[in-house]
Amino acid sequence: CNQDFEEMNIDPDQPSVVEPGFLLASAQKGLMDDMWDEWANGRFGLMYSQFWAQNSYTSESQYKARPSEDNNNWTAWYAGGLKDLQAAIDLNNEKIAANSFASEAEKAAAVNQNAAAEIMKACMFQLMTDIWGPIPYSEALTGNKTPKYDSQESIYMDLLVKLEEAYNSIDADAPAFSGDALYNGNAVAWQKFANSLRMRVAMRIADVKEDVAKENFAAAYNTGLYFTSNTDNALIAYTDAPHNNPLNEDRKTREDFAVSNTIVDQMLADNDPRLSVYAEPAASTGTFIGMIYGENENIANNLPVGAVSQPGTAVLQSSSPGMYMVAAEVDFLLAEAVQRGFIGGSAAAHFKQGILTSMDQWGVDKASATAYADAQVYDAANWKVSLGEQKWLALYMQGHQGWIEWRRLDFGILRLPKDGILIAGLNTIPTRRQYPIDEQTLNGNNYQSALTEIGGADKMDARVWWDVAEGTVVDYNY
Amino acid sequence: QERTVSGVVTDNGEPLPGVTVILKGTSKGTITGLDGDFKLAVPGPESILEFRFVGYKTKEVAVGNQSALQVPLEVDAEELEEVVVTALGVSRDERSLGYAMQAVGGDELSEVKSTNVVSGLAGKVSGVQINSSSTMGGSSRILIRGANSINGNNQPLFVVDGVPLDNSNFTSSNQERGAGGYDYGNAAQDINPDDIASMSVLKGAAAAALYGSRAANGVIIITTKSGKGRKGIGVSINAGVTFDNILRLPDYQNSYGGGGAGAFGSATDANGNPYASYAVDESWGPKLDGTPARQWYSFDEWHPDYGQATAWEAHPNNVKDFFETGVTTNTNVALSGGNDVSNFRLSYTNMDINGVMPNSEMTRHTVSFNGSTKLTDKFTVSTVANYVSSKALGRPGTGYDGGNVMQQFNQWGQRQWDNEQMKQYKNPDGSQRTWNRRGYDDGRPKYADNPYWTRYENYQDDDRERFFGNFALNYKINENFSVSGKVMTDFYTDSRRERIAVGSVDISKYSEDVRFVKENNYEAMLRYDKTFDSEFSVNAFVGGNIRKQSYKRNYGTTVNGLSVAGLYTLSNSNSPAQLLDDGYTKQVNSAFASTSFGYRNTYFLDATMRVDQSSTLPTDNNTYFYPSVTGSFVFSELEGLNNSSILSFGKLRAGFAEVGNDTDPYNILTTYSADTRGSFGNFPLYTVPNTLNNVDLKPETTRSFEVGVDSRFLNDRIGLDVTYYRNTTFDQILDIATSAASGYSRQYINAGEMLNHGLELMLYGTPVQTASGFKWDVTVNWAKNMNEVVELYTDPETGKEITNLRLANAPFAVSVNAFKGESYGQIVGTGYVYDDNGNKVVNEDGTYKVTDGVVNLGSSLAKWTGGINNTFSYKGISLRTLLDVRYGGKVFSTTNMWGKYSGIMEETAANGVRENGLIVEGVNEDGTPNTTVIDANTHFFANGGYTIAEADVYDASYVKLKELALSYKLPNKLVSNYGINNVTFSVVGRNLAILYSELPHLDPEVTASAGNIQGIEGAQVPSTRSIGFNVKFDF
Repeated sequence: CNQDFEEMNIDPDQPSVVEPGFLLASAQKGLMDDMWDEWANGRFGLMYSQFWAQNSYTSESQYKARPSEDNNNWTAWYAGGLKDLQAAIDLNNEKIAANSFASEAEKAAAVNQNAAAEIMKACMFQLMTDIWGPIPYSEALTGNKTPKYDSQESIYMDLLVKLEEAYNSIDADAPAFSGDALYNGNAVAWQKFANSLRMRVAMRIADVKEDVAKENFAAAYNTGLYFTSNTDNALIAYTDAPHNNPLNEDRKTREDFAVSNTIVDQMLADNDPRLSVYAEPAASTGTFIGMIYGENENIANNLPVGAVSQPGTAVLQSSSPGMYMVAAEVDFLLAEAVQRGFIGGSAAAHFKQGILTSMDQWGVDKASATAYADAQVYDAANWKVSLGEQKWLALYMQGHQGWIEWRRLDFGILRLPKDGILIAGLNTIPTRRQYPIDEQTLNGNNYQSALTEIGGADKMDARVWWDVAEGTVVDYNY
Repeated sequence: QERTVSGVVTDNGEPLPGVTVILKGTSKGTITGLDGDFKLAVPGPESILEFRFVGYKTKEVAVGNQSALQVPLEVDAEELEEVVVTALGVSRDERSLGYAMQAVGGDELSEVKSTNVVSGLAGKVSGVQINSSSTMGGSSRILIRGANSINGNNQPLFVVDGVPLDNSNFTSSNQERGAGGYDYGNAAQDINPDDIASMSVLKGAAAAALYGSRAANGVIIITTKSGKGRKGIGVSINAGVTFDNILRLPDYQNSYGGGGAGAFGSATDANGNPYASYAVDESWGPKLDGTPARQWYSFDEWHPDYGQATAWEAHPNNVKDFFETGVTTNTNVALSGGNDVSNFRLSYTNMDINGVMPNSEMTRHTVSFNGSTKLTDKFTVSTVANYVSSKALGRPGTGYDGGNVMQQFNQWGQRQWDNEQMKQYKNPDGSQRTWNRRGYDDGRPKYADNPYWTRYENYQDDDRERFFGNFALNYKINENFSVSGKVMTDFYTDSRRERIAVGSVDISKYSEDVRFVKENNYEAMLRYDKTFDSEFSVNAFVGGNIRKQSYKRNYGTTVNGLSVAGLYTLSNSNSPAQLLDDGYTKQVNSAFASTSFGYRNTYFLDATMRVDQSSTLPTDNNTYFYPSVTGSFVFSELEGLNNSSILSFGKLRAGFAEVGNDTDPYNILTTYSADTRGSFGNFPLYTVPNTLNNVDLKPETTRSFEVGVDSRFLNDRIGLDVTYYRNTTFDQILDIATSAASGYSRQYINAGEMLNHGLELMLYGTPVQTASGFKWDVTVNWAKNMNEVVELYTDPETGKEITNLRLANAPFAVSVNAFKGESYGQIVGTGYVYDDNGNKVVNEDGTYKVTDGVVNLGSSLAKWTGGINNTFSYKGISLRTLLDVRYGGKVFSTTNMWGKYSGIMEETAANGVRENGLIVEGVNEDGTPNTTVIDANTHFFANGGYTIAEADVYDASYVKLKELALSYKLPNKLVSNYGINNVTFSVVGRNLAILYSELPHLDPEVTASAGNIQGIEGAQVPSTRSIGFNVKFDF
């Protein structure tokens, strides 16, 4: 009878074994879905970076979020894509340990597949520690019900090791591995992503661990394998519904977001040719009008949608890509590395190349691109502002990255919400997010000890380990 | 010496057929015929005859020298039959039971009928708490002696004529937590009140040990009417009509209309008339002072008011007028008959509802057959068969969702709209017209569909076809031994279809959800009954049961909208339709045994044991054994008490029981799930489920103990029944919410210990009884349950402890949790900051200070519950009232939160707050009283539940006039000449009035669903008050 019962208790509708590639692709797509949607990007990333502004129910642009938003991000990333990546790695490691491959080539592909999964993990863990500060890392994804929080410093040190190891483990001659929605299993493309990401990670700690940053940056640079053109970009190429761009899906029923006056004003002033890609002219006037960032809900709700510039079709189409990392960022990283003396070369040249790469990414014609790039002067004495501004413009739609770079480079531009901040005691643009309420209630002891690392309280103006200076805010007069 | 006595049994002079007449101390007996007549051979004058009949007090008559007896029986108002049906359908003398059990007569349930038989129990049984939803055909949740399981099923087992009945409701957790969706109701509502002869509520695990695991939360045993005791054929008819209207709507403000910024904006039409801000779904707009303004309906060229400005004024009854008068008709025709060998009852019931929401209707047809025949003296076969076919269309959407029209009436909306204008929800070209235009020049809906569009275009429909019944054989081997075999089945197909029309706010959609649910039970039993020397009695049985359950679901939905408007098929999908199938099979094998000993009809002892083997547990740990021992002592039989004029009956009872429990299928092995959207191009997508299964699960156990006293005084004029119980469930199988950083948001574990202990009290009596026939009976039920989560989980390896479990998050502000050391169902959210003197602390800007993190805002569980049932009768007239009382327990109200935030509720425009602002009661940081004036808008935003959850946590206590029934039974002598008997007219009312409540604007009783997640109010659909008329007669 037990035999029958054992069989009866096997779910006929769910497999107990899958290809690791099914999990990898699901993670790549799922992590992006949860990073790019109207909540994580719309009401958080794109608000905090002020690429967009809310034109109805504006409380998130005034930094008041509902508790479920933090919970959902945290849960979707950890228990969703990150867990799937870990499961893919575990499945491959079992096979590698048992050496149960048909051929050495197949084994090499599996090793490459694991490297890709590790790189994806590093990419997400960096984003998450940049958002929250200390987070569960070493004990995360193991089933441990109350994983401890690791300091941001220890996470960063390990991310650099992981990226180096991943790069080293990739066999460029191995056949393409399966389940790769980014690069179709192309080993060289992953080598480039590993090194580009290692540059991003290294540079972020340049102010607090200069030696480590320099060593890692130079090592990645010296491989010569990193993003050099937009064909290298780490993207999720969305298709048609139901696998369409999440912001495209949101736009079908709601029009809550317009392009912010912070970025529209900046681009209008510089006559930036990307403006007509980033935004649509306001329907009522035919001109570009940025939605005032952080306007009181009662005023904003009364404003017709057509009165302000809506996001451009390039970012709202069903096939508009979701971006993990693009080549323009690498150009700006190289410029900064030269500036900081990590590598040799011309900072101004990389700076200009960054602008051109960004123009190319958004489909701006060469002539307009060059004219604009020529007009931008790289100010070595005030390089954080020069680099920061252009990098921020190039990071359009990568809301989280735009905000994180503002926190690190302190390049100004961003304004306080016009009608104030709705969080009592918060007087500036947040420099981190509060932990989800679920962590307070479900992982309380570890949550409490994590707080000691960020000044004792779960504040939105606490600065993470690498954030050494207070962010600069433009005092804008309405 | 043996001779025959004959006689007639009557009720108020009317003959009573079907009364059991037993020669006391023997098994000899007979049943009265159609004219109440009987004949029985008796051994001598010392013989005593016992007359028993359901709903009447048992009577003993000494035969003496009489040969023709006149035996009037008295109705037992308390419905406390001496013979009760207990576990596995065994009829027992109530005095022998060592545990608490309360019975409700069928008439009590069918007189004031609720469409869901579960809600008909409210207030009638102590220790039983009912929460009914307010939606047509919606769920009723029943909890007996509190919740035993932290997040498993806490509903009792329903057993109809021995058939365990599925009571699933298949609603999503989103629906339970108030986040939207339809409430399709719990499946026990398929039980037809007209067919119920009696209902017994076995409250503790002791009473239930023989039903197995599912009985740990108590058992509701329903016996349907049969033709037993009838001679010849009779027909009875019961017909009624009930009218429903809304019991309570919020108190709305009617001074300000839609908008966000007070006065009209500067934009005007060519004639200088202002527009209102129709894109804003709030009511912080211009004063409703009659100013000519462009109404939302003045922009359509075909409309008579096109281009015109009309008065900007209030329509205070707009929401009220939206609802219709609901009409429910119920007709039951039953044919029953019998003779010495066979009996049967065949009944047909039709229930037809037109709901209070526009375009809502429901029908239910029930055919039920009940028959038994003696093939030989020793061999009896019987069968029960029920077929139920129900259909509904236009169930109200629930929760915080656009599909629920209450969202725009009570949470996000404009107050000034005119219901007559709203009714024209379509343009001549079929497109939607709504008040919530994207702009004055853009008529597409912004957030809210026109409520009539929601009701008439975005409707759902569903149907369920169900069969349940049994087939039983009984063979009497000799006087003491008998064997029986029984096959029971319950299966149904439940189909649900949901639509969103092209042109709605949401992307158009059609989905179909079909479930096939089946449970079969096969049972065999050997019984032994014997009385030795008329002093010592033994009833024993052993048996076995095999339970097989299966479930299959097929769900399909269109993706990315419908291609052809108005065509609702899965293939009419812009992107390929999405499909989902899941299901399970499960089996439990059981063996059980029971023995009961009685001595001198005074001392009783019962012992039972059961062993289960379940397919859902790991095979090395899937068999579990559980025993029970109960006893009772009828102390009123003692020498010295047995002739007491004060104490007429007294019994002490005590019991101990354990019940083992398994888990749901497929919680053991790890599997992967496919992305419901299908492959991404060429990439199949599979994920690790968010819940971690556990290969080491073991059975969970509930241990319960109870003692009670049942006493009656002054010739049964007063009775008091008191029970104390203590239930502990440990090793619970929980899918606990864990830090998602673990890689899983939930994990299965064996952990936790939950304690429920409490007191139940039933006091009943007849305060007034006059010779003229006037009688006042009253029954008071009261119960207090105390719940404590004693232990949650300590990791055996790390020693780390989990002291808090999250059951659910509300859509916005709060979660419902279980904390170690506190009661289940704690509402958790942000709170006020209080100073040492208990004053609320105010920020510099005059708004309340909020706690940094979340705090405990109280338990959603009631402190005590009760009911008061009064019956006044005089000759054929009877008036019955039922009060239902709940004291304590909290609820978080999303309706209050948004209704104030958006300026809809009365208090947002009362006492001049909009004109003058207000100063909230509290102190500044330095302890001085707050004197800062804030405007109303700021107040209802910053000081409301969205910011401070505590602001919208309310006490859920209430007193309700639940039922009122006035009935008149015509004397049979008036009508029997026409061949009609027992003609009864009644006027009945249900849910008539809220006599006490602390929850503003809403009905405090209403629940969103029958699930565990309670204490969160989403966007309550208003409950209804029903008044009905009923006529009943036999011929």
